[in-house]
Amino acid sequence: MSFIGEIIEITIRSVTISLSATILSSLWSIPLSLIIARSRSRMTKALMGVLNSLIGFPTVLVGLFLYIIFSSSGPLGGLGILYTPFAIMIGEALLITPLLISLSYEIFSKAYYEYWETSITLGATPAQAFMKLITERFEDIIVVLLIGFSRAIGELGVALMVGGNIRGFTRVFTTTIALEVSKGNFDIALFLGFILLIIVSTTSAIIRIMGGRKSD
Amino acid sequence: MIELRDVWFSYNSGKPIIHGVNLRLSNEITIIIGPNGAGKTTLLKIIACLYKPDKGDVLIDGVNFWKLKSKEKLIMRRKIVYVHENPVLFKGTVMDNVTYPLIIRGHSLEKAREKALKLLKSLKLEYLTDRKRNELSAGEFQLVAIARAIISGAKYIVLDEPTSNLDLEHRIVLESIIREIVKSGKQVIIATHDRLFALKLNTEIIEINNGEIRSILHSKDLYQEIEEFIKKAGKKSLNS
Ligand SMILES: Nc1ncnc2c1ncn2[C@@H]1O[C@H](COP(=O)(O)OP(=O)(O)OP(=O)(O)O)[C@@H](O)[C@H]1O
Ligand SMILES: [Mg+2]
Repeated sequence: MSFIGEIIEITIRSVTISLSATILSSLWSIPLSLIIARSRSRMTKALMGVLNSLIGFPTVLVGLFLYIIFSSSGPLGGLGILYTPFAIMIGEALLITPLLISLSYEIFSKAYYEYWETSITLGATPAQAFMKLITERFEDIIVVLLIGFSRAIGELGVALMVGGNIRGFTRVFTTTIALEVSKGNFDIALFLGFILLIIVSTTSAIIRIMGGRKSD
Repeated sequence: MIELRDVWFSYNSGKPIIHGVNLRLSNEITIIIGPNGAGKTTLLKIIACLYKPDKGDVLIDGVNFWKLKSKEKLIMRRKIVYVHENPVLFKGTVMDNVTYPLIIRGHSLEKAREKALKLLKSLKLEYLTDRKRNELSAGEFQLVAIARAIISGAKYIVLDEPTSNLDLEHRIVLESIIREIVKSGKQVIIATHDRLFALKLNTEIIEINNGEIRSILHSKDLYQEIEEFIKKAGKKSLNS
């Protein structure tokens, strides 16, 4: 495959894996943050403290942890997903979970919680109230997801340890950059780094534009 | 009828905010008064089954709400609607807001719109139909929130400080809305600082302070209080 062809392939793979990981993570992170925001218990504050400290959790430890679980002698070894894109996706989804919960908790715990209460008292089922909350805060939630995506696409530890950097299969931006640097190909590494930078900064530009727009 | 039996409630801080309240709401209109921080809002949200008491029971038409399964809770909860002291309206138009309680109850959009328009007309608010929430005055905002609550068809309508943004004219509109609601066999529970409004509604008044019921009065009892207040205020301004 041509050089450019391979780069395009890596780009598509990286974006796909990290985007899927973000969506996967949001499936549990957003409902969980809502549950935490709704609870009046004193445990909530303690729990959020723990979650906030997990935001900076070393990615390589998440990778190691999943490696142990997914390796053939591990508890989920039978699934045979070690060294697949699927494993990277799960790892990244777990990695960004504390970040997504913490950021969506901010959204839900403020005045926005009133939308939930208002829907419920107007007769909504919990599912309908949840939908209302999501539609009311749609822009904010997209911003949260984009921040999660940026973190996922830029991490190396998980992709390397459970992805294995297999050419044409699990190779993503960060693992390619690491590999090319180790081979002494700084120009290729810099070029890939440049593309990654464009993706991440485009994402944060979108975040800024969406965050700045007064939602109505 | 809504009944509270020895209800205790606290927020995260742990200190009880509501202290063993016993209450039977059987009048067409009940008014709750009390100073800032007395626990009016908290009590109303307990009455509306939005807050679960730490201890004690909330009975709606004789049914113990917090002992119900979630499906039965939904049916019971739809009997009561609460309007916040600072209500929120959803994105979209006034029409979208007012149709929401009907849509979630499975009405067709067409029918919901028809009903909503009829209600808005009867409240003289039809000029607001297509406005967005940021195109309303504070008073209009509050009235739309109340209209949205009324259309739900709930039997018990709980209003928290409904007059706080209303001018005299709209207070009179609200008063007639409340009279209409009551005429159709519904019950209204109102928390307010507005003693003149409480006086005009001519009904039972529950005075609370520090999360306890201090006394149960009647609008008539307020009359004297207000009269004295006006006399004093009048004297003061004459003397100055
Ligand atoms: N979410 C909350 N968390 C902790 N404490 C709260 C919360 N909401 C209210 N409180 C406290 O509970 C007490 C009762 O508040 P509540 O809002 O019920 O008073 P209120 O009678 O409605 O007052 P106001 O007339 O100002 O609306 C106050 O001391 C208040 O500080
Ligand atoms: Mg209040």
